[in-house]
This record gives sequence, C-alpha cells and structure tokens, in this order.
Amino acid sequence: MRVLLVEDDEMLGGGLQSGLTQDGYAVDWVKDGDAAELFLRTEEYEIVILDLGLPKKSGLEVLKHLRSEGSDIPVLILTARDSVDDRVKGLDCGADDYMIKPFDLDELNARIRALMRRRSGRAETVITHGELIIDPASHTVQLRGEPVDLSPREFTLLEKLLESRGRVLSRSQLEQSIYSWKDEVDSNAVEVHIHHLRKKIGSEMIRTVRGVGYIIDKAPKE
Amino acid sequence: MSASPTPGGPQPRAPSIRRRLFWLLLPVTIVVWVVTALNVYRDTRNEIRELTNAQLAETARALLNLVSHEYYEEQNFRHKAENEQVLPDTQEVPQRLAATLHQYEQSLIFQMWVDGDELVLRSEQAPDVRLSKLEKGFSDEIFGGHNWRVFSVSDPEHKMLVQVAERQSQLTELELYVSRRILFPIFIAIPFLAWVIWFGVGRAMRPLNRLADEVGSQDVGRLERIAAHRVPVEAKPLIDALNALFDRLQRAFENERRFTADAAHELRTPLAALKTYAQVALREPNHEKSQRALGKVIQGVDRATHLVQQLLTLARIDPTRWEPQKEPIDLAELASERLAAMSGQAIEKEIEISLSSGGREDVKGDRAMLDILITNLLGNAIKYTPMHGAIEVGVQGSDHEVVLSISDSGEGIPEQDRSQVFERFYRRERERGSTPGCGLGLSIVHRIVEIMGAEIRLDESHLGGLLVEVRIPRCESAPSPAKGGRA
Repeated sequence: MRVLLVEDDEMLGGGLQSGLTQDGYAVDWVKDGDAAELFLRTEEYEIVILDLGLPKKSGLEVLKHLRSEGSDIPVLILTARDSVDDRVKGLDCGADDYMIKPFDLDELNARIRALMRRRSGRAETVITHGELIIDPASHTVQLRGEPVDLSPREFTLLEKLLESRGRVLSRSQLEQSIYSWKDEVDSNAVEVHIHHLRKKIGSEMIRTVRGVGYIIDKAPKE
Repeated sequence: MSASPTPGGPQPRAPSIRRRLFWLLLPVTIVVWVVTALNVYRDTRNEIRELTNAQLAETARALLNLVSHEYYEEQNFRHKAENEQVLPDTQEVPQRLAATLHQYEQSLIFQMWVDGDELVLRSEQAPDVRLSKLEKGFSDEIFGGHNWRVFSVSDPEHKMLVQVAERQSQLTELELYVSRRILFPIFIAIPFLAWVIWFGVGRAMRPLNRLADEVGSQDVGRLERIAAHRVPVEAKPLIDALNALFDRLQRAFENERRFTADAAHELRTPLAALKTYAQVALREPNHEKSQRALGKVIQGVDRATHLVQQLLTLARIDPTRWEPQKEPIDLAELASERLAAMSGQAIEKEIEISLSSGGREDVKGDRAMLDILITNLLGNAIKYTPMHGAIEVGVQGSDHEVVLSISDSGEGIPEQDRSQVFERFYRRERERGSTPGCGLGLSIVHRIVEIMGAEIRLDESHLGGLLVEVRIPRCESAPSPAKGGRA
C-alpha cells in the first residue's frame, strides 16, 4: 500500500516513515505543501497522511485543492493543533480522519486500516476469499485454517489484489503499492513476488492477464 | 525589646471614609455654628448697647431741653411767685415727661440738677444723690445693688445737669433672649445633624460599594472594563486606573495563554517523534535497526530538552521583574568569555572565529541576560555558518552605547524575512527540518534587547552572511568610586 506522508519535521517524518514501512506500507515522504501537491499529481496513493503546519503551502490548502480537483483519496490529518475548532475545520475541509500529536503508531495503523476498509466498502475487518482469510490488522493469512507466512510486500500485494477483486491491476499499479519512489525496484520485482505468493497460497487464485497484469476473480474458484 | 506587633493583639482599625467624614464634618459644623452664634451674640450685645446708649443720650437731651425750657419758665414764674410767695412742688414730674418714660419705667431713672447741687427733678425710683460724678457722657455706676449705665448731659447756660440711668440687668435679659434664639437650636440640631451626616455619607458611598461588587465579580480569565457612566465623578480616576490595569492584565493573560498554547503545540511534534521512534524500536526485530531507532529517541530527548530549556529561559526573562544590576558589565570581557566557551562548536565545523574590541566597554544591564543574548547569537552564527566559514565578533563603544556585532559567512536572512525572525517559534522555511532549532533563540534575544532598552538590527555582513548588531546603552554612572579608583 502506498502512502504519501507530508510532514515538515525531520525527526517525526523519519520516525513515521520507519514505522509505516515496518507495517508493509510503501511510504513517500515530502516536507512541504508544494511537494505534496506535485507528488499527488504524479503518483498514485492509497492514503495521505498530512501535517497542517507546512512550509510553502499549509496542509489545509493542500487538502482543499485536492478535494476541489475531485480526488477522493483518504486523507488523515496529523497535527499538533488540538482544539475542537481545528479538528472541525480539518474534517470539513475534506479530511477523513484527524489525529493529534503525539499519537500512537499502532492507533495510526488501525485508523489507516479503517480508512482502507471503508474505501473498499466492506464491513468485516478481515478479507475472506473462499478458504483464504487475511487479517490486515494482524498481518496474518490463513488458508484452510492453516497460517501462511508472507513477507510484508507479499502481504500488501495480496491485500491489494483482494481489495480490487474482479479488476485487473497492472504491473506498475502493483509495483507502486509496494515500493516508494525512492526504492530501487528490479524490473521483474512484481513477478517475483507473485511467484512466491502463488507458491504459498496456490497458483489458481491469482490469474495472469497477459500483457495487462494480474487479477483475483470476484467469486472464489470452487 | 522592640515593640513588635503581637499576632493576637487588636488589629488597628482600618481607616473609614465615613467615620473620617463624620468626625470631620460634625465638629466643624458645631464649631462654625458656635462661632457664628458667639459673633451674633457679641454683635447683638454691642448693637443693643449702642441702641441703649443712643436712647439714654436722646432721652437725656430731650429731658434737658424740655426741663431747661420748663425751668426757665418756672424761674420767671418763680420770680413772679416769689412776690406772691407761692412755690411749686419740686417733686412733681411734668406730664409731658412722664409720657417719654413709659417704656422702661422700672429700669430707667433720671435726675435733674441745677447749679450743681440742687436736685430739682427726679424720677420716682431715682436716689437723691448724684447718679454720676461726671458732667457729661457715659459712665457705669452701682447703687441699690444694681449696675447702672448713666448718661450725663449739662446745659452750662442754665447751669443745669440732667442724668439718665438705665439698669444693666435689663440689657442682659435682652442679650439672653437674643442668644437663646440662636444657640438653643444647636443643641436640638446636633443629634439630627450627626444622623444626617452619618447616613448621608453612607449613602454617598453607595456607588463605591456597587463599584466594589462590580470589580469583585470580574472573571480573572476574562477581565472586562468597568462602564464609567454610572460611577461618581470622584471615583472616575480610580475606574480609569482600574480599567487601564484590566487592559494590561488582559493583554498579559492573552500573551501568557498564547505562549502556553504555542509552547504546547511546539512540544507535541518532538514528543510525537520520540514516541514514534520508541515504538519503531520496540517492534523492530532487526537489532541494528532498532538500535538506530533508539539513537533517534535519544536525539529527540535532547531536542525536546533544548526546547524546554529555551521556553524556560523565555519565561524567566520577565520584563516586569527585571532590574538592571548596579555594577557595570564589561561587554568585551563577557563576549570573549562566551567566545572561548563556544569555540569548541566552531572548531568542529572548522570555522574561523575572531573577536575585536577596544578594551573594557561597560554597559548597563544584567550579566545573566547578556550572557544568554551573546550565547544565542553566537550559537546561531555557528549553526548557520557552513564548514570552513568565518565569524567575526566585535565590541565597539561610543559615548552613549556599546555595539556588539556578530558577522558570519552563512547564507544570511533575506530582507523580507528579517522582521519575522524575532517572532516566537518562527522558523524560516529553508531551515525547517534541515537545521535543528526550535525558533525561540531570536525571540529570547529580542526580549532581552527590549528589556535592556537596547536595539537590534539585522543586515548583510561583509562576510556574505548575516550581520547582527546590538546597541546596548552604556552604563550611565561612572564606576563606583571605591572600585573606580583602582580600575
């Protein structure tokens, strides 16, 4: 899952990037409002974590601009401003959630998952596909009741494919969701991860659409 | 033993305007009244005396005229009568005279003498000895147990002397009568007057009580000005002073509140970073990575500590509690001390640092504050000067001030940003994230500059970076003679 982190504080930004990466997110970190807008225009993100007090362009301005362009990407505001007024203003400007510094990394993760869940339109916290159950909160996967050990990137890839069941995802889309723009990516990285995934959960579930990408069918194969 | 107030002893009564006015107004009123009464009494007595004198004189003259005329005729008649051997009764008072003597008959007496020793006529009560030895004018005599006012008038032509006397007791009665009319009401009026003053003053004080209620009901967090339209004119200066105080307090509170909010806000980010890195370290299975995260935690603590330190410094530099030290401070010496203490940081970055001063330069101020000022400015210069750069510190004195200048070869501050850098927590975009700092250093410097009555100016330095110039007033008085002689 690809996350855009907008935070001007060197230390907090670094910490967040490490923390989110631990959870298998691909994190792009920018330090001002202008850079945030540039990245939002050129890259695809599943969620934006936005600080409000930013140089060049404030977080609220970035948010307003984003919404005025019709983007519905989930935005979680992360700020030191704790007044009710500020929170109301932030949410009214189009934020989906609001967290006040200092926050708990686990709570931040849970909120990101909640936002993802809402976005995909499902109510359950786990994703079930036939005999496969994956739990984004605990990063665990079960196949026919047996736990399956996946690397964070494999997990993210599987989660992404399951979230968009019935749709073909291109190789670059999948690549973007597991690598940040700074990561050095081998040209066949996605293929390698898919190959490993198929070995662990069976080769039938993820289908290759030649020349386009990969898909998990809407209805699980019996 | 010195007389110290005993804690259990009676408390001295607080001064009361009501009591004070009461004890001022009442005696003064009584004194004025009594003095007035005495004046009226004296004037009345004099008036009565004059009146009596005039009356006596008039009566005497009228009597003399009448009698001398009568006597002249009588003499003629007697000359005739001597021939006829008929003498009139000397005791007989002519009818016309009796009419003039009706009023104070009991107290008014007269005698008429001819040739100095012959009593030819007298009123009924008059004695047959001369009333007064005087031939002319007023005199006071005593006879028959009474004081008498006597007026004598004579007619040398006919060798005639008339003396009229009035009993003095008659006068005193009159005086008493007049005085009682004025003095007596005072004794009835005093209690009433006291009551009126006591309650009148109390009533006049009522707006003050209302004012006290209004001041007392003020919310400390939200001080409001007191509307001046309902207060008495006398209380207006008090209201104005109170309102001015409220305004100042309000501003101070506002400032304090904003400062606390700012401080809380600024502390949240480093704390968030701390917590994040601590959690990252906890969850990280890779030992090396978790060690790195823990290292960041330590860094974060240092940074938060610095921020707290700066916040405390800023809070401690309280303009209201500051008093300049009496001792002059040698700025050149202080600058060289600070420079020596901080040279380690400069050497690390291989910065060439130099101090130029022309010997002792005394300024007025506070050593600790000047220390903070120089440390902050020098620290900034070192922080923003790149490796192998240069910093020049100068202390130059003139007649009224000493100029501390710090030039560096850093990037400097563009002109449009220079006014903002003194604001609390302001950090220029360029340095945010890239240079450690909390945006308080220059605020602290600015506050110190304000308190000491100094001036600060930012400009481009000849080294290409920033030039900070602080003009500090010189020590006004010469060094104290005890030390000055040896200096």
